Amino acid sequence: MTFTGLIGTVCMFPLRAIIRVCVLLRIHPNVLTFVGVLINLLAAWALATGRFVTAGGIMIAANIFDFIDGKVAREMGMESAFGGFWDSVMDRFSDLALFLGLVYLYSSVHRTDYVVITVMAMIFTVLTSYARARAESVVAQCKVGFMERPERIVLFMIGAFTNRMAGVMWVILVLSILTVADRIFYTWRELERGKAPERVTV
Amino acid sequence: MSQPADDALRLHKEIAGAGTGLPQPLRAVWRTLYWTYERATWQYDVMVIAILAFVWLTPPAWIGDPHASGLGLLGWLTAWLRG
Repeated sequence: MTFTGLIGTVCMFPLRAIIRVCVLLRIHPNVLTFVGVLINLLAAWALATGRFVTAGGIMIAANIFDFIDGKVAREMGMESAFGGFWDSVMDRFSDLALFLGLVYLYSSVHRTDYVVITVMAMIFTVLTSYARARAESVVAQCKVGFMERPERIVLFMIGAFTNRMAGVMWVILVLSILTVADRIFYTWRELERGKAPERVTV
Repeated sequence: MSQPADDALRLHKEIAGAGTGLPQPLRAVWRTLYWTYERATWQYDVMVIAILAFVWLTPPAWIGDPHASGLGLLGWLTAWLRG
């Protein structure tokens, strides 16, 4: 088993218990998603005020809700198209709220350079998910690129707990740019390959 | 095999094929930039270690971190080597 696989397996033990409790209490998965967003807003506020460790703790709580909502829906047989849509939209909102917290923090200490870096990371975060959503309307699947939401959230938590948020912003920015480029390239290749037989027959 | 697994396998073969014209070091760079590996693979682990190394080892002053304190491991080592 790989190092990251082992971490995932260990983290799944408490999460399975939480999922079981939610299923027993018949909590609607869409409510879990919404509660996760509200808690993430608190994390954004903690980031904005420079309380990184507090923000990290709140992010853990928020992302437990975020992680379990889909699994609770599956176990309760309540998976729905709207649930998936609601989850995706709320995820984007949570992401942007965290970035906004950092933008506020860096602007309050007059660090225009990090305001720009954080806003650019925010832009490419949105483009990462938009590129996939738009690509999957024209090709079957577009999951290439490293920097997806779970990686981003874990990085936010690492940055918060170890007080290394600036380094984390650089990593998110560079890898998000690469992820968007990967998705554009992949989609272009898939579409070009789809075109090839037509060219032969003409 | 399921459809997503089929797609992933086809993609990996395609990338491996696409890199055959490149010398080995460039092929590794290409595969790092054009990321198609799943989570919990050894390639993913290497990437995670590289990211953590950058975040934790880089001295905050080098990247002008407005909030971090301390030298970071790399900064501490540099200071220690300089005496």
